Amino acid sequence: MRDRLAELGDAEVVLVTFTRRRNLRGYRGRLELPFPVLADEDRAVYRAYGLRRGPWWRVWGPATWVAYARGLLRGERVGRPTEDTLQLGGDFVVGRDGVVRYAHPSRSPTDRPPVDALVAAVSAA
Amino acid sequence: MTGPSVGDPAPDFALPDHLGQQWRLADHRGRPVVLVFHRHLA
Repeated sequence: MRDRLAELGDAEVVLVTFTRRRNLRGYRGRLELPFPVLADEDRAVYRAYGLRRGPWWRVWGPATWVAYARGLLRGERVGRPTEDTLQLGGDFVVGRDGVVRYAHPSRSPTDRPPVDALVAAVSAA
Repeated sequence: MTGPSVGDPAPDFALPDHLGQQWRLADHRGRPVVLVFHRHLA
């Protein structure tokens, strides 16, 4: 999605994390993110958006290992996860009127919505 | 509990950002907002 931020027009993109507040700056710098990064330490916002911890057998299924392997092949540094790997994420588009226009709660770490779907939702928002 | 569906009001929230300032969803009315909830591998 990072490569297609320009297609999101005047939309604001924010990354919600459950990392500790003191880690945010380093986190944002390491990932070279050009948008705000927020800390939801107690995961209250994750819960408000229906995002739970997944079962280990789904989170650590073959698709996750394949994704890690691909990352290694691309030369990405893959460190040992230091946070709760079972916490699931999601992607939402909120319209100009504050109404949810797109919702994709993930079923596993590799379950991401197509960027085209996000771009289309923003265009219609 | 399930999360909001398309057509529902987005649950408002305020969280600290990387600059230490509060970021509130309701303050961004008038612009579309893409909320990406991090998970590992993302």
